[in-house]
Amino acid sequence: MRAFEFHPAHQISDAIRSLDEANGNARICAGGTDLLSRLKDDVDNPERLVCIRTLPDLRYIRNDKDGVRIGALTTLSTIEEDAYVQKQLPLLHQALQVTAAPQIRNQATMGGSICQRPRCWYLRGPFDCLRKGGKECFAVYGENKYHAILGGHLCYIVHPSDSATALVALNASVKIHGSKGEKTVPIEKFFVGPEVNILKENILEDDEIITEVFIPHPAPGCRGAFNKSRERQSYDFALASAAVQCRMSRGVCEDVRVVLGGVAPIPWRSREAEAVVRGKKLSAATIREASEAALRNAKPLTQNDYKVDLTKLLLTKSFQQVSI
Amino acid sequence: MRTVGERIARPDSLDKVQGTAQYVDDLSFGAMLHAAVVRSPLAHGRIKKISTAAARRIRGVHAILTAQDIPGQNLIPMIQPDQPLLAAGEVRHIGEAVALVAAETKSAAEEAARAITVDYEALPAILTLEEGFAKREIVQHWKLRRGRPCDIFSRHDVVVVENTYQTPYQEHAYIETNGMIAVPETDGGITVYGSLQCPFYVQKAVASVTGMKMNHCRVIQTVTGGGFGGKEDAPGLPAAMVALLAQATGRPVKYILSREEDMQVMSKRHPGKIVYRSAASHDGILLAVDVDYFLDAGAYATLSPVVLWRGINHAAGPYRCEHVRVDAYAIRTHKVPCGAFRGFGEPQIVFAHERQMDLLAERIGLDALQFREKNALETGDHTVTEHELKESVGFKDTIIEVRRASNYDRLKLEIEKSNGARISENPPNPKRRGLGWGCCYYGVGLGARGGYLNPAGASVVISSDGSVNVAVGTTEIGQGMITVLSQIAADALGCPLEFIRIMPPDTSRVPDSGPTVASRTTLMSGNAIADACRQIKSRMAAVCADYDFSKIIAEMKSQAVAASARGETHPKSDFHRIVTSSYTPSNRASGHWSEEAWLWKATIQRCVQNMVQLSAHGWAVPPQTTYDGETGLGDVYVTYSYSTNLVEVEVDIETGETTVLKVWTAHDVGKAINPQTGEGQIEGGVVQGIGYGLLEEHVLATDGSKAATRKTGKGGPFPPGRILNDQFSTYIIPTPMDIPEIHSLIVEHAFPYGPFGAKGLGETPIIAVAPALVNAIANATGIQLREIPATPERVWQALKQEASRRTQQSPRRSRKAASAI
Ligand SMILES: Cc1cc2nc3c(=O)[nH]c(=O)nc-3n(C[C@H](O)[C@H](O)[C@H](O)COP(=O)(O)OP(=O)(O)OC[C@H]3O[C@@H](n4cnc5c(N)ncnc54)[C@H](O)[C@@H]3O)c2cc1C
Repeated sequence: MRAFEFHPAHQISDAIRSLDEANGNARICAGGTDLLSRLKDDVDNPERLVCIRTLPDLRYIRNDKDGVRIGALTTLSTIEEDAYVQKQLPLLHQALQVTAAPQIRNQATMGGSICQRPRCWYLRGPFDCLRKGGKECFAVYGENKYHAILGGHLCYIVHPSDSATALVALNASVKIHGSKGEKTVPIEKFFVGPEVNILKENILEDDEIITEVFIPHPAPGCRGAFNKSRERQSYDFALASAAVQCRMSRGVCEDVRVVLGGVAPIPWRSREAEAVVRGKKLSAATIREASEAALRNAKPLTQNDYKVDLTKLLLTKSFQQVSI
Repeated sequence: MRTVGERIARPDSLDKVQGTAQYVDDLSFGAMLHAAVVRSPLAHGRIKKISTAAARRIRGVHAILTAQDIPGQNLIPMIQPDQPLLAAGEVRHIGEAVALVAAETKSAAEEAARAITVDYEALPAILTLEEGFAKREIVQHWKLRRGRPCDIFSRHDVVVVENTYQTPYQEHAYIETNGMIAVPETDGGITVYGSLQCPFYVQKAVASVTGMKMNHCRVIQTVTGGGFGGKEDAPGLPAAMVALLAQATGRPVKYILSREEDMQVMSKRHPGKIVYRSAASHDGILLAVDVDYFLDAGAYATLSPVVLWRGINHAAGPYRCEHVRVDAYAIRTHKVPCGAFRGFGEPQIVFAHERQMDLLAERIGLDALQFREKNALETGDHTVTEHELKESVGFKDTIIEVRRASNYDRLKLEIEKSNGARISENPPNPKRRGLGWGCCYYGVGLGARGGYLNPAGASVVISSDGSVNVAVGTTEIGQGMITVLSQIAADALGCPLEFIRIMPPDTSRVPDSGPTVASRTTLMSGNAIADACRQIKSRMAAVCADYDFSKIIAEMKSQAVAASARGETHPKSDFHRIVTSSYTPSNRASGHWSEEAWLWKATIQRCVQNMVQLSAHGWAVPPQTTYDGETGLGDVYVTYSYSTNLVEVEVDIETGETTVLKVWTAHDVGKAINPQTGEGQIEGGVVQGIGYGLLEEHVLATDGSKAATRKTGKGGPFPPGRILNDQFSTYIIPTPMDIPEIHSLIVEHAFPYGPFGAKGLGETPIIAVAPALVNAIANATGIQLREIPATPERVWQALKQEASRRTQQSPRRSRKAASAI
């Protein structure tokens, strides 16, 4: 690991100033579970770490009339254990339970979990790839069994975050503080694919910090399910995952959000699948049709056609769970 | 015999779980420097120029060494010494060391390493076994010729099965990465402390590169966080590096590898390819095998010749088989050198022969178990190398034990019924259960090619208070050696266990005792200890035989009572010290020793007074083994351990995911000196075997885009051959959540030469798990995998192929049926 300056921030404004000064050469450090491994792997070499764990008041889960607000420094295990989350947001709860392992969830934060960088082995190795400013994505012709089957464009990373997949399905939004002030962005607009920015997975500027994630109260009759497949039963990122949040009324799906994880550079909202089921009863045939529709535009690389079938199965399972 | 056979808790476990054990990275010496290593980014290349000027200017840098600065030989001594410590002129694998740095801090050393620029000319690299074989890059070729296999295969009345199998790299995944500290001594010697399995290998490596005499190179093992073979020869490299830097700077030097560096450059299990043809009679007798066995050795020979040799000696499994041809090759490629790993060349070929056994059984129409039983080795049979088994053959009993414990015949029926029911559930349940067998045997010790490495020494010294220091040349690497050897020493001397202390291995205490490998430690160090104890006991007998100890014991007791009444804990007189010292907490509380302990102390007291020599060096030499290089035949090992595994899995036929539900695993160990450490070995081996069969493989960067030769952007050339998954987040090993219910079963067919009848157990538990798993997947789903690991993706691909094969067949059949009507 190379040397860096360590700036513990005691106020949000300190943190922003410190980030701003560094001109892109600083990184925010929250739980550090992702950042430190990047530093150790020598694939990110910031001059400065702005530690935000010292910020007061960013660890909370608050319920108000609109929804639930989660402070950016709240750990994943705190969220997982929260009674409201368990009862009203089963989709998020399920996603957190299969995220990493308990030790990591005790340390990992809400903000860090949605800003964590992709796990592509070219990105995390000594390879001068597109996402590091190089000229080529080595996954295209190289080893790509874990790479994107949807939404790839020059670069074929997959977004690693299970919580991000869940939050997009829950129509969450993120509150961002920066030198220019404060703003709230729907989480779907927060993530951007390689066609928009080949170097980053989201819209955050160098001087911006996420302070809060907001999840609106689900409407009555809402059900959610999250299914994830992985090679081993703990400590493992998604081969693929499927989140379905669905408002049912008299057996009919009134409204729905379908999001696929581990298959695209961003949490992948499947409007195709949503269109199939909206206004319909979730019969076996409809579910099959929706799962097919979700993957119709999949373009597997040389080694990952497995993920197409796997994602269909996971999506079918999630639909089945919300239909019962 | 009082402690042998008992479940004695490990004395070293408390230190480990409390975090007080001192691993090498916990040690520090005055004025210690830190090392960093410049490594090759290319699989194969010529070094044109090494520029160190910029690095030398970095503050805190004390030494930068390249090949030309090595005072001794730039060579790691091994079977075929071909590996330089630092690449000279040519690099032959990614991660090969090119230059060394020592600096005041780790970060200064790393900064300097980055500042050293090396110009390479890239050379064509051999990255596959096939290419290496085609280019005749053969490190070693062994042959095995028995009977007339050709005659069998040309017969018409036999069942023949032929397949090609592939097995992956496997990472040892020891919890502690490799690390070493070298400390220069005032008399010109160097002491090396480190995480290691084989102190004498390290000693030779250090002596070779430093040019020092071996007695000046002292190697001490620190508490070691696992080895599994990965710390057999490989630690010689980091040890030699720190020794050179210590020699150059006159200061202690520490080098601890990061996990990524360790995974990139240290040894692994050889990837294997096995072309396997077997023939059996229609009534289920295994008649012949015909095998080509290939291992990918990597860039240097290291231990590949002997790893390969063990594989060939077990090529047909623990079965009678009279007609055999095997050719085994270790192939040189431009990849990281592979080496020892628990099982040592067996897991690869056992995967093949145990798959073959199942496929043969199916073709013959026998149950997989029945077929194995029919051919199982028994006393009086000959192994594949024509070794007549005269004793200690517990193989059949391991089968019987597993069959009994698992209730196999009932379980098999129950599973068939439950699978049938699942198919008709609505919606259909995609999970299918299955059972699979896997058997193996394991020649204990180094065998006929071990030569001078075979013997082992021990030193036993009894202090005047009766406490005993035992030094051996083999090491505790988590397998429980300390516990088991303490038990052997205690019982051989006839003293209570708490009087025994096993010293940290140190090359200055005992003669070269060979490596801690090949499941030989209990057998060889155990026998060496027993030898030393016998010598001491016979001297003790001379003065104690007719002596009445009651008076001396009574006197010692009253002294002890008086001392403890005075609240004294510190020794005053010599005699007083003998009486009161080495109280353990339990006997201090009760104020007295056990009768057994009093007798022991009194005996020692009498011997001391009579000037008896209470110390001895023991030496153990295994019974004669033989080997014929032309035919490969001979009594190649002193004896064999046997093992049988039954694995129950559940496979999701939609996703290809496999869950291991239960494992029954039985082992003939001769005698379990400590059943608890024995079960620990078995459970650990099973889990590591599940990793090998289901999860673990290294993914190497390929040059599919021909990007290899294309310079990309500002970075260097694309490095094909580099391991892409060099961390535990990408190199997937089982977690506690992946561990099934394990039933460990111990069978004891005593081996007369072994200490208390013991053979060895370290390795058999891992060897036949992967084939049992894959056989179980076949039993559950009908797919026949020839490659491991059986990842969900591989199983899914195979299921898809199987389904399309069936649909291609069935229309034809139905057309035929239609026309018949
Ligand atoms: C072995 C292992 C297995 C894992 N498995 C999974 C898994 O199955 N599923 C999964 O989803 N994740 C998994 N993870 C990833 C884990 O969830 C993330 O590492 C963690 O959530 C990151 O949180 P952190 O607080 O530690 O972030 P940090 O490491 O501190 O930061 C991560 C990134 O986010 C940025 N950041 C952090 N906080 C903020 C903020 N408030 N505003 C703006 N930027 C910020 C940092 O600058 C950094 O770039 C795994 C990690 C490991 C090590």
